[in-house]
Amino acid sequence: MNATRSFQVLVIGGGINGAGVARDLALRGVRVALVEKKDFGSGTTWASSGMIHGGLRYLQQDPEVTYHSCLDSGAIQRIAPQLVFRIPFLMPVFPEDPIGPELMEIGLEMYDRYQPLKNGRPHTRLSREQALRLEPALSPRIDCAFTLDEWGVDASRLVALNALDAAERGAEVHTHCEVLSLLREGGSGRVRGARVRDFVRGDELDLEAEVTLNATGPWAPALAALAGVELRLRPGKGIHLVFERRVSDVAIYARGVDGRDMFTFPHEQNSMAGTTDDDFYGDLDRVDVVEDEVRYVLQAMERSIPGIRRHRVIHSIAGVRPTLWGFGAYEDELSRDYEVLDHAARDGVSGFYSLVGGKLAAYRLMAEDASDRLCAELGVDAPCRTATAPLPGGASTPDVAEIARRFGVGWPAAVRLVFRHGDRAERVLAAVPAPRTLCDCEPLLDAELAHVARREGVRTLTDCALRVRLGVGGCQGAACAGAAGEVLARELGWDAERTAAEVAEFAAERWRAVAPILTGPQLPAMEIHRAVHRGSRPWSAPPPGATSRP
Amino acid sequence: MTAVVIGGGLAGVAAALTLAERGAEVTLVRAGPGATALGWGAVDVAGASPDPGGLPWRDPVRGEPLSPAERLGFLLRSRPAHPYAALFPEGDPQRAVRAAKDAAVALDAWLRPEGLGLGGGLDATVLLANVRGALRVADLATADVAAGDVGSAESIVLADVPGLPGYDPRAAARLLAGELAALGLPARPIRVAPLALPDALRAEASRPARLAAALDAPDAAPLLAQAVAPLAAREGLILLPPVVGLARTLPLLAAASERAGCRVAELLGAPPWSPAGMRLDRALLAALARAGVSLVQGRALALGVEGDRVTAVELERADGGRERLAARAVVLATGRFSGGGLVESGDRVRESLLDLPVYDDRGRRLDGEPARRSLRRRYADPQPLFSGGIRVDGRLRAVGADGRPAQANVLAAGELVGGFDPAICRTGLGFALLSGRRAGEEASRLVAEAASA
Repeated sequence: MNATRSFQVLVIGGGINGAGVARDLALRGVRVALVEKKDFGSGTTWASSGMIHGGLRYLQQDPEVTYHSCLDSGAIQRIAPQLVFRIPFLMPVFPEDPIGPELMEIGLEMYDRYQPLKNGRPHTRLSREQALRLEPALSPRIDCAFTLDEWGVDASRLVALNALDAAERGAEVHTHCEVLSLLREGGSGRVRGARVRDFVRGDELDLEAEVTLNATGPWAPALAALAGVELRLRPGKGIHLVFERRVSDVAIYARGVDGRDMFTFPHEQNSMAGTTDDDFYGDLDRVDVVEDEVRYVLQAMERSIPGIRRHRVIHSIAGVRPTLWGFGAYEDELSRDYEVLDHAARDGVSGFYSLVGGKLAAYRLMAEDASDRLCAELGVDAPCRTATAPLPGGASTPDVAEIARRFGVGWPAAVRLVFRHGDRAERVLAAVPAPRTLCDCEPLLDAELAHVARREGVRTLTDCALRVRLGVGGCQGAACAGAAGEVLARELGWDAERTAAEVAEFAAERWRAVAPILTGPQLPAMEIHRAVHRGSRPWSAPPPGATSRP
Repeated sequence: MTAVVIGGGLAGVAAALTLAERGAEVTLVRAGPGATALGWGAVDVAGASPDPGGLPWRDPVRGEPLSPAERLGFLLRSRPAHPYAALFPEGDPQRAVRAAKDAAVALDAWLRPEGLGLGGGLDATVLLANVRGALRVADLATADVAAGDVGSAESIVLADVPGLPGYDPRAAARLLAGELAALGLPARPIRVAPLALPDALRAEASRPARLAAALDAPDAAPLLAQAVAPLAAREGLILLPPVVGLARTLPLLAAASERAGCRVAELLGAPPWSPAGMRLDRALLAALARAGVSLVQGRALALGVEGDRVTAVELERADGGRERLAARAVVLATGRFSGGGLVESGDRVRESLLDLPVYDDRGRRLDGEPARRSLRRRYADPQPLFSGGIRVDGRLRAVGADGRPAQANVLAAGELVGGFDPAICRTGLGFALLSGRRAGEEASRLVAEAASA
């Protein structure tokens, strides 16, 4: 007999869309459950560039998307001021570029009109000499360069904060729970929630709901099929390469051999480069970067930054966009818009909705729209509050220097803590008597791990890569995963064997992210990584790869 | 006219000291600390591993635990690609055991003046716990950890050093209990008890290496002994985290042991920190200095070849200057990727100095293609890339693609020689020691021949 719990809404999918809807509904007082098969944001959201921009790219074909993205970017800055950061962009113009400086000016003039929506500064035009002085790594072949202003966010943290806020406002959230089937009235009638399997506990659970929302991103067609509904997307794979250090403190545009725009941009102490957009037909649970994608991205970057190959690529990120279906168009020409589908009207399956398509930058607006539709069906008329109610930690921004001094932690650690936790940073630091650094790649404190395990629903060591960037730096967890496993073991009551298995699973996950890009400069690091994780494995741990989790 | 050893890990140092013992003039070129300095205290000749690709703990047929000599015999019979086959071509484990014992005596003598030593042995397996509680089924180890054989202890006390990062003795005690069970060994009492160090020393505990350095102070030995004494258990074993000094580890442990009236040893290290490797590295450098080996901090760039032999080593010193050393014999002990012996450049894997052919443990050439070609996506799969290295003949001469010595006077030792994955087949430092010693012998013969010619 399965345990059964009842809600007004069940949201399936813990990416930015699902977490955004769960938070929106919880703020309106709706009883909501959120279920995610891995950890929050581990699918498409983790693979996003974390850019909450209007997308200069969409200005021509999708000005609506640009408008909404810019508008909502402003809203995210209000509700999570700690989590956003300004990214100045440099856009070099080469002699052979089809769009020369004059046409570029016109486009950027247009884009400037959207900038006030997101507190962006207007563009500037730099001479060749000015641009090279600002960023000596730029190619000397440029004619000139433009600057424009965008905003970045830690995307997986944004998801976690939405889910956390939902939970703190009464939502029930379940990570590592995969939907096995949809519950139907009389076997094939109205959708009444879902039966899920908890991969960590190993049991099953029935989550009953009056309305069920499919917010599973690229997995949406597969979930819809469980209700006998046909849903089509044009899933588009995108990859990012992650460099050990910052290539530049500004973002730099690059052009692919096919004319596509890409860029490299700073993120924490890394730089990332991407992204690609290719129709994807493979297994959504096994999305790996392949060699020609790496070459394509590096080739593009090399045109803007000739020395790019001297920088060490430490890992890669791949994901699949849930792009709306379109026929006869190239990937880049497809609409970035979203849809809320009522499967009662569309397919005769009541109690079931899907939220598909969209952009990270406009997630809040999409969540609001979807929540409005669900509330209408439930007869709830509470207004949306997500544009003004701060996300956890976002009510005020504490003084980093003060926190570093009071708790005796280094400035770099304090900066990151305030970035991720805002005005809750002090509470995080109070989680252990004397906070200590676990990893030197990015100063991560044991206090933060203890806090996210206790208060933010972290369930596995692998979750911590997304939540607090454990092991995503140069050492890829060689130095820190073992010690981090022990912190989680204390908090979550793991026995020694479970701890060893979690560490082994973490190492295997990092390997998956590194193997596709493993070349010269990263080989020594991974040789040591293997010596650490394969070479000191306990006898009582299960063999590598024997995990029961998907 | 001297012998030049390139690489200053255990293999290179063993070669250089063996050359010096035999009266040769030796220069050792070392770019910096390598894999040896990242070690955790074990120097396994044939350690067992829980990994399916590693050496077994029990005899697969009889079910009895294997002795180190039996594991070595198993390895010689079943792993023809392992470079022990070059050292012991007749496959006689007893000869290999004798060689390992001789080498162990030599290494112990090199380490003793630095307050370190070598313990364990080839006759009986030692079971060594690391700071997380995982057990290593080992043979040789530095003496400070070898004394901590868990298998021969009736009761165990793990000393808690409050504030020491990355060390949770309660978690370690739990894992250790599970490890004994997994190996089918009887359970025994495992206690955790605080080490009551004076405040001045406790204040250093936030950095393991700082605490280790503080314990080297002349007045620290009685303080440590005093703190250890209350932990004593009859017929027992007290295990401390590896922070007992950087230069006086064995005297400190001996004083503590005498005061406590039982064995006192160190745990093996584990990431993120391991003063153990750092200590070994320092002691080896000190041994070089005592033996009169001249040490050049720098990176070898190229070897000058005349006819069938190398006559010079060109190098860039750490201060940026270039130098050319005349050489009668050269020992390559440059390690693999983390040591710089193997690199990937021009989109292919290569041996860094002579572009020697590189083979994995199944005999496949790796040096004609990019590293990613021999990478497997699944972490659990064997990774041929990390078993790869050059090959040597029976006299440890580096061989070319035709299987014959690439040069008449270029020898190789340590992990540069491929055919096993050191993360799985726990023979890395043991092979470094044995091959370094043998390469030193061969090189001294070459130097003598050249002198008499």
